[in-house]
Amino acid sequence: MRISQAPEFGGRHWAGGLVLAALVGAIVGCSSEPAQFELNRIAMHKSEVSLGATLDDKYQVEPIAKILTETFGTPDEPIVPDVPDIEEVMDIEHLKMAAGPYGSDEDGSPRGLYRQHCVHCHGITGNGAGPTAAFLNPYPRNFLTGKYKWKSTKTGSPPTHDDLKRVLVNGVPGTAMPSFALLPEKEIEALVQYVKYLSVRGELERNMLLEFSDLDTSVVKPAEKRTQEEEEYVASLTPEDIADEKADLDEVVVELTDPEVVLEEFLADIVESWAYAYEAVTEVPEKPEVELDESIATGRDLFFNKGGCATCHGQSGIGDGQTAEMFYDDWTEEYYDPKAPEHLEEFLALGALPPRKLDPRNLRLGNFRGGRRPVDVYWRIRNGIEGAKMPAAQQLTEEEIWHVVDYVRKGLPYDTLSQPPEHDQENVRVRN
Amino acid sequence: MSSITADGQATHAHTSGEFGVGEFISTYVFSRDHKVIGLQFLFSTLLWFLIGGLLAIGIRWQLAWPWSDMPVIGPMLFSAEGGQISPEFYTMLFTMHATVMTFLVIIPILAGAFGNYLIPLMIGADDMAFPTLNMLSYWVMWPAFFFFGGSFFVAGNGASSGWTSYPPLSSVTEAAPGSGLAQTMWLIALTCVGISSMMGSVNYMTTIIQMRAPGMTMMRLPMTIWGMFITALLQAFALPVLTAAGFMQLADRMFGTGFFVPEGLIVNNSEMAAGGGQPLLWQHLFWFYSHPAVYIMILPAMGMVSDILSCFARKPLFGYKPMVYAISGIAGLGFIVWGHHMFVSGMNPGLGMTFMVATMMIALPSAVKTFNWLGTIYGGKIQFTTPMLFALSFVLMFVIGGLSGIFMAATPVDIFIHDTYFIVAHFHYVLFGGTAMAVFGAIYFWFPKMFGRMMNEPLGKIHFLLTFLFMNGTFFTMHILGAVGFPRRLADPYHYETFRHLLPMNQFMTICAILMVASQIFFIVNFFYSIFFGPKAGRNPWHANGLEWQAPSPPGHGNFDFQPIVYRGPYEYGSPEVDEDYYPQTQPPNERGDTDEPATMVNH
Amino acid sequence: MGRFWSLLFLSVPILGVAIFVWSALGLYPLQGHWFPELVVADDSIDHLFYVILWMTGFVFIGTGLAMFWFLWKYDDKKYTGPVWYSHGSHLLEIIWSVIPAVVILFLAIYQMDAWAGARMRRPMLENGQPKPPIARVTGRQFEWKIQYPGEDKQFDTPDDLYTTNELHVPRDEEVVLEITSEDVLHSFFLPNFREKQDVVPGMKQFVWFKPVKDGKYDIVCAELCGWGHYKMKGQITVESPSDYRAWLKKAYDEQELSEYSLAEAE
Repeated sequence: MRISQAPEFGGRHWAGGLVLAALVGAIVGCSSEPAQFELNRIAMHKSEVSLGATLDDKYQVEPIAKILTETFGTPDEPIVPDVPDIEEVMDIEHLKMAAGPYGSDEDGSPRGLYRQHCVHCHGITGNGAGPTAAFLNPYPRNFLTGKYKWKSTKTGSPPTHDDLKRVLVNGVPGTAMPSFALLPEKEIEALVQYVKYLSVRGELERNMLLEFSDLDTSVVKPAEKRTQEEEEYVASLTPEDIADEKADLDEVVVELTDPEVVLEEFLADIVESWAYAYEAVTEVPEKPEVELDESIATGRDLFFNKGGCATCHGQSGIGDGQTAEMFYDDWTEEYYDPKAPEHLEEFLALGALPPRKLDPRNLRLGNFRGGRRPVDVYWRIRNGIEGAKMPAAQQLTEEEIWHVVDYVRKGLPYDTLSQPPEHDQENVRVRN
Repeated sequence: MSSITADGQATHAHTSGEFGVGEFISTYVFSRDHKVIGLQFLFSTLLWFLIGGLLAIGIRWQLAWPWSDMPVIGPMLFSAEGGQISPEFYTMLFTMHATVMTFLVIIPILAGAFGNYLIPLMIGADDMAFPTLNMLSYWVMWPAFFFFGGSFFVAGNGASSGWTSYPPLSSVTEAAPGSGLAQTMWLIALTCVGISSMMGSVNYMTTIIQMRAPGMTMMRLPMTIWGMFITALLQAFALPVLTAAGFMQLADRMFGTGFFVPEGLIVNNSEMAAGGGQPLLWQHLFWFYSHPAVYIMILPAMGMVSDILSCFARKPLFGYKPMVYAISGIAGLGFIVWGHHMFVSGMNPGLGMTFMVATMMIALPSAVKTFNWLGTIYGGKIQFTTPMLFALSFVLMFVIGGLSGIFMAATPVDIFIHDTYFIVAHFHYVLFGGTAMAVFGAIYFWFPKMFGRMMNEPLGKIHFLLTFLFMNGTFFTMHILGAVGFPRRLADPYHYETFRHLLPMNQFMTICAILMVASQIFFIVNFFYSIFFGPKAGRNPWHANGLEWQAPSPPGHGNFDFQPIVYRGPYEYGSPEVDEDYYPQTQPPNERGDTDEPATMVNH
Repeated sequence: MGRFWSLLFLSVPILGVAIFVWSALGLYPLQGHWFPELVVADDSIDHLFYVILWMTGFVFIGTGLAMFWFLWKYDDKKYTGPVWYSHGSHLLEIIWSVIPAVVILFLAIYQMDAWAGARMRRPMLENGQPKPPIARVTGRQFEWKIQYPGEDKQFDTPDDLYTTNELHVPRDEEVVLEITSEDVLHSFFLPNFREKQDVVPGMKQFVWFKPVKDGKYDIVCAELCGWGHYKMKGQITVESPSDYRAWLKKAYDEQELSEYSLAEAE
């Protein structure tokens, strides 16, 4: 029998090796630019809309970017600005833990916590518009305005350190904000400080923007960027006037971008308000000793009558009251005016999230976003909720508020919606 | 020997001079020739294979270097986030990796490419029973390509509720970033794939039953054809269930029905109006198809491996009939084991026991097949060609994949290892170590028939060696991760204390995975180079017995230049009846000749 | 080259077994690359895993070695003997069908008790009633909401205790948990307890175990539940019954905090 030989078809085609090397090279050689803070384009466009003119890159936009970078650094290399009381708000050791790319340093302590845990939703600048944000309901918090909902302080004051920490530890039930209770104390501290850092930075940016948008930059703008009005104004000036105005502008910009001016005149106040936020805390008096049923009954009466809660939260507390008016929260009203919606498209193009109507809370879900403790609910009623439309209950006495707290916490039965229906589907067969 | 090197095309009337544009389109684009359709499937699926592989690299990148800049994709899509990908992008990556690999690569490359190309040739038919239906089965894949491909560019960058698409995550649009338009497109594409498979399976069954050459009894069919036949049966009976389930999920999403959505859901802070459904219903329907689909993804590969092993062992296939019974048994049992995907799903535990016993039984026919393959190479004259190496590795990898399956068939053990990397290791050993290796082997084996030229052997062996090494580096280690309980589908598993120390192991796996994908360069280069410049192959370069090797390479329209008559089974290697060590199916008995020229050449 | 390829295939069983042995023994650098520490009384799942591992390992090595030997011996470049012209053997087919069948049947029956213990035999009270759950665990995108029934042992009453991701259970007691979901599928996975159960919205399910070792262990979500699936990390603390009761009281007092003054805060 003849045995067939395996056919041999050889060749010297080593092109594959070259292509392989090229591919590996492409992967290894591909590295991206370090991350940068983007400017708050939405706030800028809002000034442009209200001014009816565009901002000038060289005289208005770039100086702000320069100030911010000089004062706060970059996402990878944060700077703690040198202003009084800053040590009450942030320190560089903690900021470095939270900032930068995810990883750990030589001695194994973590780095880049913000990018590990927060950036997907809150974005690298803290504008609440990370890549995941658009899919969440409610949207993640935008830190740039410095306004927070779940706090112990009065409206208009920043939250205390403990307030932010409580949100981080407990999460915000009923939203996509998870609990970070299992992170070590040090990492939570780092993240709280970084949130403050982003807030302070955002607030400074907004204040500088207000200053710079006051400047009349018609004379320095390229002709094609001028509005009709500006064009006419420039045309009415003599060359000498124009030169004068330019000189004035240069001077103002130099003055405004002077680090000392920025820190002393603009940043110091912001930092102070954060450093002394605890002074604005609303103290909660001890809860009076009343029989629970009695307290609930009183609270129920207040809820419907004097307190006026039912107006929005509805007769049954499910948040279906008379809210014919279109409500949007403050962060949405930054860029969306329901009465003048014509600019919305422009803001959406700049990365703003599509506006969502603000609904009064359904109180029967058993979710307490700002916390379940009686003191938390007390603060909500006493101070209202900043940024949302919940007003402070000025008309109620302290004792009355306690009754409403009892009614809301324990008097409203949980709706079946919060619990899966009690089917008899069990994975248990009882055997004896 | 002249006919071996004869150019098959020359025996047919077409020469390039007669070709107009219309004829070009009808010959190569909207062709009804099973070979052209098979090649169209082959090229499409190989392209998707590459895409699926790159998606896998994305997954591995995140697991090895979590939240670091992902090369190329990161800076492009997530520059504002410092180039790191977002978690929903990760969920999209593994969803689409599995979807592409399952529905656009493995199923169509086995049934669509090889089924189409080989069935008529191997049974001695001139084409499929329904050529137009066959053409449609390919072109219906295009909407699927379009919708799967397009879903990368809509909100969420693609479906992201896993390839199993479990509701309520998939059926509630608010539940996940990819559950919007992307999920709808996913479902539509899936339906198109299903329609294509359905058309194919009807065609294959009819062709195999009706169009066999004279003398080609069912028990003389090559194992490849048996694999295709059983696969077609599986598809015909299981697919309608998936299609129905897909439509139900579409209705849940678009028309507010509640087949799979229980009442009182609050998803992403929205209260769901629909209700009264059961999420587990989807799982039952889905796995009623998708478990048989697992066999759809392996049976043809088993058949092709049997053919290759026997050819290069120069020895008859060991236990042909038991092999046929084994794949029939696997297919039959395949319909009553779907519940083993649901042991921890909340299904009645009593049912779990039933499914467990049925699942264990599947190990039997699988063992029979493995031992028969070993019996086939025992006492042969093994030629270590590239297709043989891939076929041998199939056997070994399938042993690993099969044995690890016993762990998860055991219900109590499955409690621990369900949805961990142990499962991932298991199905990658079956689907990559098994099917993909068999597909590579089959490409090397039938390439001379498809293109009339040989592939380069040294490059093929390098390709095999690298793929084999890096595959095991990537997937074997997954068993170990599974033993730790390392769960699948986590974008960042390392913030669990239990899994934090597993990062170096994952980095090792990722490096292996990247190199494994990079090794395919050798295949791509070899493939395209050989199409144009490989040595001419002739009719029967491997000295094989099958009918397809008696046809010209590549076969012209109508396949055979003679009427094949079959005298014996396809595995008569080393037969004492002839001088050669092979005995083609068409060679009449008792006619000892020293040529493998078909003895029954008839003009037609 | 036949020799080379044979050895390549031989390396698979050798390295495969080596990796398993290496990890199971926890040798450098694979420390901790094996089961996480078992902290419940019932070790039947681990035991069963090892039984299957031994069996499959035996088959794996057997087939691997057989394959190597055939490849080594019957390489057409080296082997000069005749080809074994055989279409199969009835006897062999029967042997290698019956033996696996017996082994598999044994396995199937052998594991039933462990499955029943994990899923069917819920712990009983002395009066024959099923033991009530000590807590309700509800999966939600992306956290574990945990609710203790409080003094009155009834859920959804004013004295309930609510926590997030933080579950405490007493040691040396049969612990029953009620698990459910309010939005999508999740899976309640306790690696150290060898416990995993998908939670399905609309279904109330129970899991039970008897922890025997104090410590803090991970609660993992093992069923894809959306973009933040990986964030669903919880912690289960096993502690002595007295510590457990003290923790319940402390947590409840914190939850009912109803006075806040600055002096206290600082």
